[in-house]
Amino acid sequence: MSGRPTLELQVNGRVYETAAHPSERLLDVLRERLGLTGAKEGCGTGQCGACTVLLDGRPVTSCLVLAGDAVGREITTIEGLAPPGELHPLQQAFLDHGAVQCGFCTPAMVLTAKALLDENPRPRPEEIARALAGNLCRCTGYRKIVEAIQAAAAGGSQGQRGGRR
Amino acid sequence: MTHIAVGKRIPRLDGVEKVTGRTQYVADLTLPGMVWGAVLRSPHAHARIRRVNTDRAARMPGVLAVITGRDVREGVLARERVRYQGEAVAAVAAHTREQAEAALRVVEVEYAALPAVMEVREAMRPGAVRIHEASEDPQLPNVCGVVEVKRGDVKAGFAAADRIFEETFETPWTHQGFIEPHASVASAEPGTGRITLWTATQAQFNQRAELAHVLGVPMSRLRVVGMPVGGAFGGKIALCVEAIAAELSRRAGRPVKVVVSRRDDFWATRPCGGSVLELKAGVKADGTLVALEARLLFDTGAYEGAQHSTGAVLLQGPYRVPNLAVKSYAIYTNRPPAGARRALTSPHVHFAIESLMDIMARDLGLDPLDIRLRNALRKGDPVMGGLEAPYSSVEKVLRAAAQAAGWAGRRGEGRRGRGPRVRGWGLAAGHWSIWAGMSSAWVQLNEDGTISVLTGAINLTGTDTSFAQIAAECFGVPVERVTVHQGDTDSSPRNDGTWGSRVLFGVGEAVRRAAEDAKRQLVQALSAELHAPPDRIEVAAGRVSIKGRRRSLSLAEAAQRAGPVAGRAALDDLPFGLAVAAQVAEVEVDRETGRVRVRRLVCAQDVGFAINPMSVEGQIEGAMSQGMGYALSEQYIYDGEGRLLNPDLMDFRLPIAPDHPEVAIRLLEERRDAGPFGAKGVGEPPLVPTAPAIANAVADAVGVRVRRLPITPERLHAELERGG
Repeated sequence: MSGRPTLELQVNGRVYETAAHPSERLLDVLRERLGLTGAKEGCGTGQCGACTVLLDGRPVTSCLVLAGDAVGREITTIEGLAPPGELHPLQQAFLDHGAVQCGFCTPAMVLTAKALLDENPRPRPEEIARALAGNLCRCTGYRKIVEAIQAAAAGGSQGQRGGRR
Repeated sequence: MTHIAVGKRIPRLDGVEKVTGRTQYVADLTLPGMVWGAVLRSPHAHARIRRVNTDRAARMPGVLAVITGRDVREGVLARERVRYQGEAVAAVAAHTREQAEAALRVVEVEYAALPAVMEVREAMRPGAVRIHEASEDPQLPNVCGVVEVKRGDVKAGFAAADRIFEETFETPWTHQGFIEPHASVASAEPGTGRITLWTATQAQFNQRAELAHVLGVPMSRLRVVGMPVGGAFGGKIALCVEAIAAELSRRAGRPVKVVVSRRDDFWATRPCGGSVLELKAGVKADGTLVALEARLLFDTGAYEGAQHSTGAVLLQGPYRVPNLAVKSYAIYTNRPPAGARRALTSPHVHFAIESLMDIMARDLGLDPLDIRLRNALRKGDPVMGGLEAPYSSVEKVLRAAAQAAGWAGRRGEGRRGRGPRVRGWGLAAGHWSIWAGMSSAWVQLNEDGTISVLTGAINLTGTDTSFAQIAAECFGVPVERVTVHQGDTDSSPRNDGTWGSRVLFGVGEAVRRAAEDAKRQLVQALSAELHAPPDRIEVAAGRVSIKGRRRSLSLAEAAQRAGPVAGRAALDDLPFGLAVAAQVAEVEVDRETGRVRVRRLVCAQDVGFAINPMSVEGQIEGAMSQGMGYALSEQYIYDGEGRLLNPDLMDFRLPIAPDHPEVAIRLLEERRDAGPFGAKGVGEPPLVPTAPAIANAVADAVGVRVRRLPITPERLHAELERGG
């Protein structure tokens, strides 16, 4: 053992010990050290939102969060949204409504939507659009994403797990 | 006709992977022993390279390789001169990304700055600074291509005209706006010389050909693996960092990953070039177009880029133009080499012609719908340079858009309003030709009755899902029984790139023919096996039946008895498809701030046949969103020395979710096209009319016309102050 201090992170309900330095970007620790590549880097400056993960349930752009600042907080990435082999109702709704095209912004969109519905279970379309203002999508024109989120909101409680596939 | 698989709203087959974050894009890829590459780019728009010294960089910790223009073949890194800000000058491979970047910082490059030429009109003026030494015509420096399109007699046309209109329009440089920056991983096998490239591309076979050239390697030793692409829209066709990654890997003896930063993606990939479009139109008092003349100046950037000829042939718009004379120039400037963007230069020229149609209508006291209907392209009219329109849905599409938008009587309503916020309505149409290109596919029937489809066509827009629907339809099985593979250049049949809205049209038809070929093979093989003539054997509804016999075979049984069944098809000669879209925009303009808000967009489009209507709508909604950005906010802004001032997603502003309007879509399914089941490509046409529809709506609202995109609040405010 090198004796190098480890950084303990709680990700998707598990505790990970990594050799990451606290000044590393949370995005890099998730992607490079933990292999959780669902969070994407589109700009590195917090402008595109593709790296969004949930920190204690709130969406953050993980390219602007230092790993050290995430210690002791619950981190949720797209990989942890539903048990393996199952889909969260939001994921199912994104599929069914054609809200996915290239898919690069999708994990971040789904997580942002999750945070919104946890706070506001029946948002109006304008509220959904406002919640997505920090997540760029170049493929869809957002309409089907908003529809998918509305459908997921109408379809049942947020805590419910399990998909149809 | 009833269908079991095509014409259905089927979720994307790659959707589950995407919503769960499991899709591996290039940047997500990690190979054993992989190291990082980084690229040093010129801060100058135009300069001579006096000296490059990499000694210190090579000694930096973790560094495995450093290359400059002297170490590689031409076209990979700049040698004596840089011609745009961001041109690649040197590259480093190191164990970590930080080490690679640290090494770049100590590469010494001595530049001698040269004056930069940033605008096309300036660049083509005699005496202008030359960006490339060789130029054929000294009177036209920096002009690297001229295309003329002529028909009829424009002089006679203008002589017969009641009115002549002359207008100049300008379109900006824009980034395609994909969210996934360019990235590549290259692995050169020491010893064998084989190179594998995992990359984000729209065109894996074209990249293989380009790479073979710049690396000096036979194609058979190159394998290009087109990875899932996080958006491309024309921006991922040409090589970007592929050759650099390969050269670094050759020297480092390790796989090398290069991920382009957002700034560098703005600086140095292949954005969409700008244009200056000078039009002169002659019309009769009733609005009939009798002559159209144009001088089109397309900025191709520092190296020859996307074809400007497309703009020249599309300038006529979806209209009948008896006398036409278009002269189109491609002009070098010290901007990045221009690439394609969705529908190439069609949005440029339609902004011009569709703005002009409205200017003329207004002047002649005609309804913008009526002037377009009067001139609508008809069957047999000349189109696309010298071709004949095989049919025309222009009138139908225009009427459908107008009807869906409630067009009648809407015009000018805004100007009657009080207060700073006024509304306006604008109409525009657009056309695009769809060519099959090189298209091929294999369809294999597996022993369990499932079907595997293999094409080499990059799946951007969900075409793989449509291919599954097509193959399923041919065999009469549910879509779930079909798996579609997008192979790499080693494993799959050769295809052109995913561009021009051609994949569903051409490759989709190849899939259909390959499925029919597989069925034919199955029948042939079973004929001997079952002692029945082929014409008595039928494959339908997922079963194989023999006329006159009671028992039919499941596809699985049939496949087992028949032996190998592998259908194939290759084609490149389908008659071209003429795609037409028309849109109506409703906008609200704040007269005090110049801010434009799009409230509603209506699109009617002849899609031939919607194999997957959900996917088709997705294409139209996405295209209109991009069109909104083109109309209102997206532009490269340079300073006088050729430095880009807004290489980020805050100052280069893409439309965000709250910007988006209500949308209505009308799909016209004429089924006259040569694509599968009468389908044709749909992705590009709906971008074409959006910006002019919005510009026309703004003019309708405030009576002031902006002839230069984007219509930013500053620009519109200035026009309003001037009183138009």
